[in-house]
Amino acid sequence: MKKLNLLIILLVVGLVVWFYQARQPEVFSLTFFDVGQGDAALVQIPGGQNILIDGGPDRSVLSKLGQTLPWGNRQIDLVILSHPHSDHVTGLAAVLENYQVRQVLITGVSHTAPAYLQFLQYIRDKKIPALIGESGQIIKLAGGVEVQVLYPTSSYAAKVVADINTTSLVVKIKYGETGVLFTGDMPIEVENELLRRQLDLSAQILKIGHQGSLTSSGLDFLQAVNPTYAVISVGARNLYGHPSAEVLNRLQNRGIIYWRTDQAGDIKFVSDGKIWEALNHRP
Amino acid sequence: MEGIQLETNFSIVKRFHPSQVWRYLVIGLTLGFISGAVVSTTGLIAAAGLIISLALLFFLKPRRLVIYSLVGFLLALVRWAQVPPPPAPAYFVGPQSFIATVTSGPRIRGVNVRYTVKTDSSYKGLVEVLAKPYPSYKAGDILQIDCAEVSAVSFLYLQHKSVWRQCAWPKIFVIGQAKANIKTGLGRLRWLAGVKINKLLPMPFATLATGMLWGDDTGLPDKLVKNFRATGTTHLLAVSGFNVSVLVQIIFIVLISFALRRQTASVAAIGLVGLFVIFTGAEPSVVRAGIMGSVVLLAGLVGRPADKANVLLGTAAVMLSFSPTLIFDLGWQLSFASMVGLSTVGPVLRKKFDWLPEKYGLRDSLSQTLAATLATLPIIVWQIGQVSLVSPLANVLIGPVVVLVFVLGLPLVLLPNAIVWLLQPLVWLLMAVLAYVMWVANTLAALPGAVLKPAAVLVWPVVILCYGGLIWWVRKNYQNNQ
Repeated sequence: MKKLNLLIILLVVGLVVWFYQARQPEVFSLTFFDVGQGDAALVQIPGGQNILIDGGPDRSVLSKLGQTLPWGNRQIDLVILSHPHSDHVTGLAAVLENYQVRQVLITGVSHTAPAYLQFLQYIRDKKIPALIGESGQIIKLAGGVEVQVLYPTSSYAAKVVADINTTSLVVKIKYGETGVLFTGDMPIEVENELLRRQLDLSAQILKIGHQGSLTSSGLDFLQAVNPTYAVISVGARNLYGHPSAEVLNRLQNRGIIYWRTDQAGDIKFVSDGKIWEALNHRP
Repeated sequence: MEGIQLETNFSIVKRFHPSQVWRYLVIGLTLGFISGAVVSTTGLIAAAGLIISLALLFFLKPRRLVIYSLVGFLLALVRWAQVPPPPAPAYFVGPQSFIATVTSGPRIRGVNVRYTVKTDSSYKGLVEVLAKPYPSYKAGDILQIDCAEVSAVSFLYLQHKSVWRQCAWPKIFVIGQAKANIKTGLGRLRWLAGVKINKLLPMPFATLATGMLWGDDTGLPDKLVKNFRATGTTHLLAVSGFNVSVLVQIIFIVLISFALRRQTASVAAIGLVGLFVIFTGAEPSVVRAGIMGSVVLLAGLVGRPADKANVLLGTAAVMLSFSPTLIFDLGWQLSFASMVGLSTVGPVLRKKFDWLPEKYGLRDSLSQTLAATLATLPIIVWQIGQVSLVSPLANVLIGPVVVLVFVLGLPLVLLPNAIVWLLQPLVWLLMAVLAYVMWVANTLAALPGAVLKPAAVLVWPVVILCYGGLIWWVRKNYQNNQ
């Protein structure tokens, strides 16, 4: 009888814990995961829809998702691959393997990285709808959330490009009056092209391009985006010396508050549609 | 007259019980294997062994039993001499193309994946291959490996597993599959079980579950692994003897509840434990636990209580006879040290904790956990160079829920996919239990002073002091009790 009581108590405690952890988020949130030298960010929309932008250089994004998403939620509504370099696509191949993905947004550029080939294979095997990104496209999600594609200007599908970084998808995710700009590893030449096209690049949060490399985040571009906050997704003691001291100076000189994932770990923001709030971390 | 004399001698020999002979023999074997591991020159050991043996023969009685120890000691040295030496430094290095079969892996850590492969070339050894996460290979895959630079392995940990060569990021082509046998078949089943758990649970819960159920903790976040290490609970992720003993108990209870006779249940349990050992990849700590568990079950079958020391030393000697280099394996060392702790320090601690209530096995749980922790602590200091001060508390908090991981996780693995969804509440409960395990590890590891790292020069004095103090304390209490 005592054992039965213990079992019932355990059952009740377990179920209470589960239902508490399985609650859907009530606020719009954005989490930049600390996945080492690479990018991975999750947008959670009130009601339960999710967007994952890039997957980092290994499978660690799976643990991040498992600990961030409500228990029982194994669905990603939109996966965005900025470009097929291993430090962005490897984790996404693992996500496609383990999660139910409803749609992917890719450039479709030709590349032979094994993780990218595996990623494409999963898209084919699981019959996941794939959208080739082009400037002007808008994907609408629940709660008035919009994913605006700003670059590339024309399709890169099946094209061979010498510098894959120049093909990076640039997307702005808008929720009410708040927005966040994702730039992949976009170099300054593409930034300048966006400036020439006079697109609305303004966003309160900017994901700094190419782990803070000197090849990205030009002064004119920073001025056009005019972010309040910036996030550098970068690995500790990386071999490339990212982020560049000059890029950090540019951010400081413009009064942009920035965080680095190698120092702050996961970086989370929430938005009420009017203003972003940074959670659990200091610049 | 001579015949009568022989008869008399024979009657003297008969007075020794086979278990006594066994004990002396395995003591000799074990000492021989330890000596062979410490001193590499077999001749020197043999000479020293001979001198010590003669001295022992002169001073110790009964001499006939001491002779069995000497025989064991020398047999162990002969076995050490048969261990193949490392290949010459310049052999099988540089650019190499070879065909090899995957024997273990993938082991995922960060951006790289490791495989151990057995070559089919003139170098009949094991090679550690570092590869990218994709594409992935399975145990039994036959690969064509084109390696720009094969180099010598510097890690002692790998050398002791007879892995002398390594290759980073070679070109790999799958060219076939090894012939199916029970090992590859169970390896394939293990892979399928992992896929199933990963479908039901998200990471890191899934990896924690597969780690606790059959030792596959590949892909567990580095931070979590570090926290398990800091709290002295990594043995739970490696299918230690503790996990096997939990499994044996569950199998036994299930079989008995199916109205099987005790003897039939014991035989079936031995068979199932054997399959489980192969299923887990036959890690030394699991083999140790499997053999000891089976011997205890067999002893129960023939109606005799198993002699703990004989079973423990016998298992050590038999395993080392098959593979002397196991003596260097940390998992094997910890596994045996914890068993020695449980059988020697455990009873003394249990007496000291007589003020604790027996309810929910609290007294047993605490005394056994502390006994195993104390016995393994010096080895951890020696091999890893750190001491977890929160280890006893972490083990007491996590130990009791390990059984729940088996009770909730095994049905998810064993039942067909079609009806697993009916068991969704089991998934929920399992996640809650695993979340608790992670919470304990993360919380205790974050405490200030959770881990002490003694300076390198202090490592050996700490080890000697710990074991010396423990032996003195156990002897003192044993004598007091006598």
